[in-house]
Amino acid sequence: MITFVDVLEFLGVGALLAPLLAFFCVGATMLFFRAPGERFVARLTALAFGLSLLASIGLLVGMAIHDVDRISVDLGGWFSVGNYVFELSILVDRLSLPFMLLTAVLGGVIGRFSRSYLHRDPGYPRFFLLTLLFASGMLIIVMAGSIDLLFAGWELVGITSALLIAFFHHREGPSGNALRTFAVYRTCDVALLVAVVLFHHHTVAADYQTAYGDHWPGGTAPFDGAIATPVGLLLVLAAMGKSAQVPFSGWLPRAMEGPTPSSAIFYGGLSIHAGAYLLLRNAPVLERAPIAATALVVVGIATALLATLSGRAQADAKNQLAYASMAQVGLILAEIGLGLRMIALVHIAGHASVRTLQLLRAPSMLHDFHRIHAAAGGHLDPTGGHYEMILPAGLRRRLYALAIHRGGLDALLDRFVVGPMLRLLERIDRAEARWAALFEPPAAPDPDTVARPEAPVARDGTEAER
Amino acid sequence: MTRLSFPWLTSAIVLTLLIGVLLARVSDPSRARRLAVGAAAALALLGVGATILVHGASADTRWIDPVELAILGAPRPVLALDPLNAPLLAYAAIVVLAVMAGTPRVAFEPTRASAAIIHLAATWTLFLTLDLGLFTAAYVLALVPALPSTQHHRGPSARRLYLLYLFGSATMIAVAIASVGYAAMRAGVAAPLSLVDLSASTVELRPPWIALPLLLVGVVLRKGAFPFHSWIPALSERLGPLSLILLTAPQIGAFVLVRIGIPLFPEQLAEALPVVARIALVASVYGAALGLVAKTLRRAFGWLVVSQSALVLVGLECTTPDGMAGGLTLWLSVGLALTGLALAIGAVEARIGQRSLESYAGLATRAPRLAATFLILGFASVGLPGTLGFVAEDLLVHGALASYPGIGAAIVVATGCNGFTILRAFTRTFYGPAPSSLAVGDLLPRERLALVGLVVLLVAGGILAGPVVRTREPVAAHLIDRLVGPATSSGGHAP
Repeated sequence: MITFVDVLEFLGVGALLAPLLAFFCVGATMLFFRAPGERFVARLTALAFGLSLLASIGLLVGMAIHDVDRISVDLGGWFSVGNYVFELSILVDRLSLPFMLLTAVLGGVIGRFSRSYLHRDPGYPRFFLLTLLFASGMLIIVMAGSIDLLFAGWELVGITSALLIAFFHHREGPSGNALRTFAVYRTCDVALLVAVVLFHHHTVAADYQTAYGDHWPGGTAPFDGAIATPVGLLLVLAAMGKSAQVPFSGWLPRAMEGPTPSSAIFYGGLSIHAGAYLLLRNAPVLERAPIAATALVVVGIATALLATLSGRAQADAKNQLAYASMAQVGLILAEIGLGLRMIALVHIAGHASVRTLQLLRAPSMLHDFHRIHAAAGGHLDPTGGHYEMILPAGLRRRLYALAIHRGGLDALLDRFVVGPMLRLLERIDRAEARWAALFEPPAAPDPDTVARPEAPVARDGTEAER
Repeated sequence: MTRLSFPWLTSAIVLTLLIGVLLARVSDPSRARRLAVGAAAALALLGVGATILVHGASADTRWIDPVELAILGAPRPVLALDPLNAPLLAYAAIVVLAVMAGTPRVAFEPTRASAAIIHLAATWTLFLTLDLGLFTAAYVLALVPALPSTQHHRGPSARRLYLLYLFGSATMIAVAIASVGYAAMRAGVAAPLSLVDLSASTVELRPPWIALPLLLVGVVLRKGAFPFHSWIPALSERLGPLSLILLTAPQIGAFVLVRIGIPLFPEQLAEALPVVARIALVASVYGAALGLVAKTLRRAFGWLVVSQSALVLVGLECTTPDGMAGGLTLWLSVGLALTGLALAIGAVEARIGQRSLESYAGLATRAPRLAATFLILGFASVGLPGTLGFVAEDLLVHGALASYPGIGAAIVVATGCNGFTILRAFTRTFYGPAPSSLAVGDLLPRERLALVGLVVLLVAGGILAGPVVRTREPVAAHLIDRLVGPATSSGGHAP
């Protein structure tokens, strides 16, 4: 006998599987056969996001009508050894459902927009493939019933983000920026994984439901402050990387090298809020770790101030929007640190929608301005200028220099952290090469093996090797 | 204990050896490739069959090959299948099969194919044997076929490094085994080199102060763990990733530890393992850090091998079931992924020559499938979600933390750095402006079959992680039993 809860569970699984299956379908076609046509990819993407959206709406309506706070689907253990089981469990509740709806709506909008925007671009199927993988990763993050499963989605979002920043790969700039972004992600991912491991080490609970007890936004951390503080700080660090908070904020303007639709969904809509989701989901830990919560508020406010300042000195629309996004997410994180969970959730939903729209309209900004000015019957005065006039001229100049240099954070990190570390490693690598050369000096490069291809292969794929 | 009705194992090894010897006499590379692929495929099928046969059996169950050997003691069976070695047989054969099928034609020489097939036969013998004498012979034989290729007639040589590190490791292990055999002979054990007899013996026949340190140094040398790691990046640069992966993928050093070390020296190893685990961990973090600044694709691959292979050793030294099972699973996932990556690098070099990582090559425009497989296999080697690597690393991190607190964090740092190295190598090779003169094609059908086959294996292993991990779980539990409870079994343990 199929119960109503069974239907809701089915919808939950469907919402997650729709983009994931579409990803596998497009990916397998590209890998095994040939790049699929634009129409096929666009329609499949629309179908996937449409189904995911319908399932999410069904869940929303069903849960509201029957007053169900939470749907938990246990898909069983993925793998297990001894007492350790990696549970595949999905959680749909007041926190995950808004994110599911946002993912399906924004994913669908981006899919539709890109259909025209990227028409005849050689990377068309690759863009849709990565967008589907990103949406799957995002849904895994927000629907994961345990922090272990969340990490899997977190990794997928990081990788797709880097690959989409480098989407226009025939230029060196986007590739370099993708690497830089990925470096920040990996650094902060280490913090998340250590937090996951600590979490497991100090509680037997594998899922949020058992660990935190009550429904979101309630719940209590399963360990005391001595454990909650390092776990909380690590979670804050992980969120800082994904949500571009100081001092890791330098990657966000660089990430704008990607195509506009991916910038919109990643850095206006969803990915930038993944850190906020992580902290909201684990808010009981922050509640028990005042040091971590305070650090979060400080980081959030500092980011909001710096991003507002830097954003005002940017010369292009996408960078201005990136800083605006960063500033709002800083405020959202500060709200989470202050314990204002519901306000933060509403803030995320509003901000994600508005910012995605703004980023999608960015390529048409001049056209929009002309239309607005025509409708208003003349030019509109820019806002915010009078605040700047209040400040003394000297301070204004210093602030302008600070804004132009984006707080100088990247330069500081490069000079005092990355640079010395790389120089030391290069020195060690040279010593390693010298050690190996002691036994056998490397021969001079052989022009046959270095300068020339070993085996030319015909462009049509036939074996034209020597 | 079951005695096989037909000498399947001996026949497979002897036939493979014969094919290996025959291959050196084949002059036509296409024919040599077909022969090598056929031999490796047959062994892979046999290995899969063996894995199915042992599935669900307890870790001390054995299927004995009926052929007996009477050197140094009474006639006794010397080859046996068990849950530890059965999946490794299939794995070793798949690695060689992929390399034989996917190697670019200009890099494919019948003599190298012969060396790879003889190496495979030696590896199978090493995995299957219950006799320490045969074990030593197989260990040395696995190193001999590749020796001629270390001396390039025009290019860089690696002979002295190969002799120093790899034959050094063989010498250490041979001396350790000889000292064990000598002590057993003096104690009157009927077959002093039989692992079964040594395990059943109740007299003190193992001088751990000589044999164990030599064995451990031999293992660390063969594994390329810190501070004996330098041969791996050097060989990667001088001989190429494909030659390196054939040497390192079977993880013979790790096998010495679980086949000989743990059964013969359980008490001593239980104390020494934390130290060895830390040495392996240093290698992993060190390799990962130096991978960040590698200047060539080959060197980056070498450091990746140092780092990820060391993690297998870290797992094997965990005394928790999840950590140990993680190490055993990582053995398979890292080997398959790095084999694929080596093939992809081989395919890159066949098209545009050896790659520096200080400039962009822009190959993705011309070879998008090669780019995709390079990226997937690279990330699979460092735990891409959805692949077997993710499963293995998840188990390893959880287990390592419970065994040696603090180590879990270091593993995460190492894999984090390795992930960056993969993306850096990928972007520098495949991204950037493509030279207008770049007239190369995408993957050939043969290359595509090998690379996509490995991708499918890793993804299928990730999706069906439960059954894969279950083949490793009883072995892990058995090894931990030996390490944690040796005092209760009066020094006698099944190998």
